[in-house]
Amino acid sequence: MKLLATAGTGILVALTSRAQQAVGMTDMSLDDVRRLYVAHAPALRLTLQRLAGAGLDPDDLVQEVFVVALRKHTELARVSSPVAWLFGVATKVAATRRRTASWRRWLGIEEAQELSSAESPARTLEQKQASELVQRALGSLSSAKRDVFVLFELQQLSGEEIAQALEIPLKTVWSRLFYARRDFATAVEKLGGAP
Amino acid sequence: MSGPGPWSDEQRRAEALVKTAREVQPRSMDVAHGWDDVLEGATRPRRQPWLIPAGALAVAAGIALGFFLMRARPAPIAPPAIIAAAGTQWEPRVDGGLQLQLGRVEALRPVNVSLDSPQVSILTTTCRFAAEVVSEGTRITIFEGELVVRSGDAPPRVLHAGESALFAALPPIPAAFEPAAVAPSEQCAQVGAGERASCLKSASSGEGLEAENALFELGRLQASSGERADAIDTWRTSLTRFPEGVFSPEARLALLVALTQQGRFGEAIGVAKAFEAAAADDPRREEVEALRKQLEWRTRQR
Repeated sequence: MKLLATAGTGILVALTSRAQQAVGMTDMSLDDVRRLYVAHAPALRLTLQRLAGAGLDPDDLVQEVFVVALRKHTELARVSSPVAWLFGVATKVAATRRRTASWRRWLGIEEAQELSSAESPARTLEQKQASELVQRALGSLSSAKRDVFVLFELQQLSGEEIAQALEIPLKTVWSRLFYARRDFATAVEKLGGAP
Repeated sequence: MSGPGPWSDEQRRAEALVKTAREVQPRSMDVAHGWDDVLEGATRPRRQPWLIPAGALAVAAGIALGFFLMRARPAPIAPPAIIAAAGTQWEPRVDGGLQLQLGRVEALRPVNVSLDSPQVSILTTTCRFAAEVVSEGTRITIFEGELVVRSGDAPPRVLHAGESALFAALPPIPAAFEPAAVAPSEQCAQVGAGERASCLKSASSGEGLEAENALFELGRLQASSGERADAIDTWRTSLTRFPEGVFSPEARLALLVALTQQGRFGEAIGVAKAFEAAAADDPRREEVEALRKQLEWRTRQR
């Protein structure tokens, strides 16, 4: 049985596996979501850092992704690729937080501070420089193109997984990727090329 | 960046850069601590930093009780203040209220709750009540206190202890009112789904048939995306700019359907009358008239 407590109204709501079975849903327990967290949280955090850009805490973002996963566990149980679903949520979380980042800083909810990187400290200097340049070039892409580019080129999801994650047709994935690669290459050249 | 070429030197350099960046591994995490944070976050209200700590303490107590009960529990769904009958279809809303789709929920004691059904919206703080969605509509029964019920554009209705009222389901929408297939906007035909809306907005700013077509298609896109209010505004704009345009009958029908589905019967009746006046020879006129009369009857019953 899973619980969702909504503090705003003080109502404590319980979901039972019997109720889910009554409507033909597959149960996804907290343990299942936890297993996904253990397996994929570090990679998701790195992807969120790439999607959201500087100034946003990737630890906070990955937590938000899995909070959504808990709240929408019945939807997660039905998808063919839970990993793709999680990355799809990650793109939405990153987009929302990017939009409200400056407002949140003004309210003091999120400070523009030095945040720990989601990248392994064991990276080489060349990898670090490449990663920083990639991040800067990504900043010039539109949100839609950046999402597809990051998921395909950096996270190496398949086109089908990206289509499921972003809820767009496969043709649109390839079309966006084509334009994203072109724009990314142009941005890299403008930033001075490879390190 | 693999795939068929030819690749320019610029793209090859970018490809090499991405390949190097891709080699970077993610930093390891304290997953145990992180998972605890996720669980705590799942039971917090959505991004409300102004909530006082007392509310957070109540949530923590609720979490502790909830995890204690997680082992096994018989149906039905049974929150402390509100219960749902077996087979009831409902879900919690992002603001903490309830969305009731089918079946019955009952407040066992006066409780602070907001609830929406396909026909009504209620917000109560001191009322013990039951709400039941059936094929005929939503029935609200009051056991204690009083409740204000809102239904579409009807005046709010106050129900008192001992009273019960049925808020009728929407009239069926004739199949003939389904939007006719129209050729997609030429300007936006090749644009991906994610950018289609902005492309159509741009195309609709022009003049003539292309602009009217883009407006109508934009409204349909917004309606299918759940943005009903935006769809209504878009079709109204289309009828203002092109009152006798090629798509004006379809825009009026789409507007009529959207307003009816939102329970805005008064506005829907106005649109129906405009359709009957402007499209006297339209084969759908009789069905529009029949729907209008149903809406007028329901409005008188409110």
